[in-house]
Amino acid sequence: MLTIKNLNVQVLDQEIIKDFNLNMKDGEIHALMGPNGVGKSTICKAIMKSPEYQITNGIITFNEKVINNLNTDEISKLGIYYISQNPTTIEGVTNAEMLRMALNARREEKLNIFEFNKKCNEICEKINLPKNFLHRAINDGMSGGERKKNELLHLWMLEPKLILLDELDSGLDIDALKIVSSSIMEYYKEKKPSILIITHHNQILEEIKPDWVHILKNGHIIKSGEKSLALEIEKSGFKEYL
Amino acid sequence: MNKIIVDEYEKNWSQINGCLEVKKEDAHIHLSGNNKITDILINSSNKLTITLEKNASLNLNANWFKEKKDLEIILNCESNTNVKSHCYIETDKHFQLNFKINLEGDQNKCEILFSVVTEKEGNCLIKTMGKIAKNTKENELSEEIKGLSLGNPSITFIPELIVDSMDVIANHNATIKCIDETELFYLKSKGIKKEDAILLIKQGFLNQLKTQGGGKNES
Repeated sequence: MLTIKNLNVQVLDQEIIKDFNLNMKDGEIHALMGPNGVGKSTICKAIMKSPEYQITNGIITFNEKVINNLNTDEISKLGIYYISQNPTTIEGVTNAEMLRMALNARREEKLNIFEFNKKCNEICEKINLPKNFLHRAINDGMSGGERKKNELLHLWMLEPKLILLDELDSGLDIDALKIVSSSIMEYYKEKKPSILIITHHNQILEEIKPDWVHILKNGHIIKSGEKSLALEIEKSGFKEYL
Repeated sequence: MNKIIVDEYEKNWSQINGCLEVKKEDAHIHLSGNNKITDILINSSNKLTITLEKNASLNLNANWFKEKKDLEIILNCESNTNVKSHCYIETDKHFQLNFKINLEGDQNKCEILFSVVTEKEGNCLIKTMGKIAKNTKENELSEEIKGLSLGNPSITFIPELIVDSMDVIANHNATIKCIDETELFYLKSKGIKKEDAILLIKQGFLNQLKTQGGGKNES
């Protein structure tokens, strides 16, 4: 599914990720943990080819295709979906307009409007989202919780094979976190994607249970283990790894 | 589309509704009653003066796409007039507009909105001058100019207000926005290619203006 080998990433000429390696198989859930500033989010942004993040060494492959040199939209169309900790607002552009364009970009023939509306309505019902979200501008005037639910709408519509969750728990209260996490787990049970979760906390891992947990320090993984590793960190913090 | 031809220097009209086609280099029209101008077809360097007579109203829309122009438009309001105007300019060439609005009497209400999108080699200069005459009462003037620059073209706004009366509500705003890399990345991360993402952002800019007030004029 996703293999990252010897990855180095620079941001503004500063090397944030150094010799990072990760191997995720189909349907696996991995959690990447670590204190602030160790480069957890940088991994997601480098995978998605965010413009300020420059890959200076290493190879990222997705389903055996090297994706380092692809554009962000091409990476997305392969089936990689990224939810950032603070999803961007785009004034004046509705979810429906964006989703229709995104779905058309994935198809040879344009999506029939009736088919599109039907799918939108089904998904809104499924994730218990008011249908007026479709006609709201992307994340505009939405609370932290609403933004994450809005991203779930995009997730269910675009049906990715790999989900990158960058601090999904940021800005969410316990109830909102449960709602968002359970929708992701429902998607996981139905579509069996792989998931990479970036987090500081164990709480989200109680909802989205990882197969593997990795600790990041100085830009690379220094320890990997099963879910119990996250519990250890919950008890003793990251002191041991600083 | 109902076309209203302006082929004389001076003309008086009442209750017009349609697209104004200006054939004189310098023209002056006087309007009374309720008027609606759906668009203005005008040559590249013309001057158009519109005088709204007492109690008249004007709903003015103008859309200029990819045109090279150097225009001067003057709007004179006598008393108790009501103006709502939205000019939309989308250009990849040189576009210059001097827009002057003179509130000469009392109780005029004017809302003026310009929205500008420039791309490629576009170079746009919009000067707006709102003038409220001495000893006038209860005038309201609102001018707003919004710009979106796609790429590296130039947009310059020069909004001016000259207020010679103490009894007036007047404001002007000018904002210019460039394509935001964060927005672009976000849309690309959904699988939308760069050109289409820019198109969506531009569409979003226009949609916002419609909900804000520009669209009111279109009804």
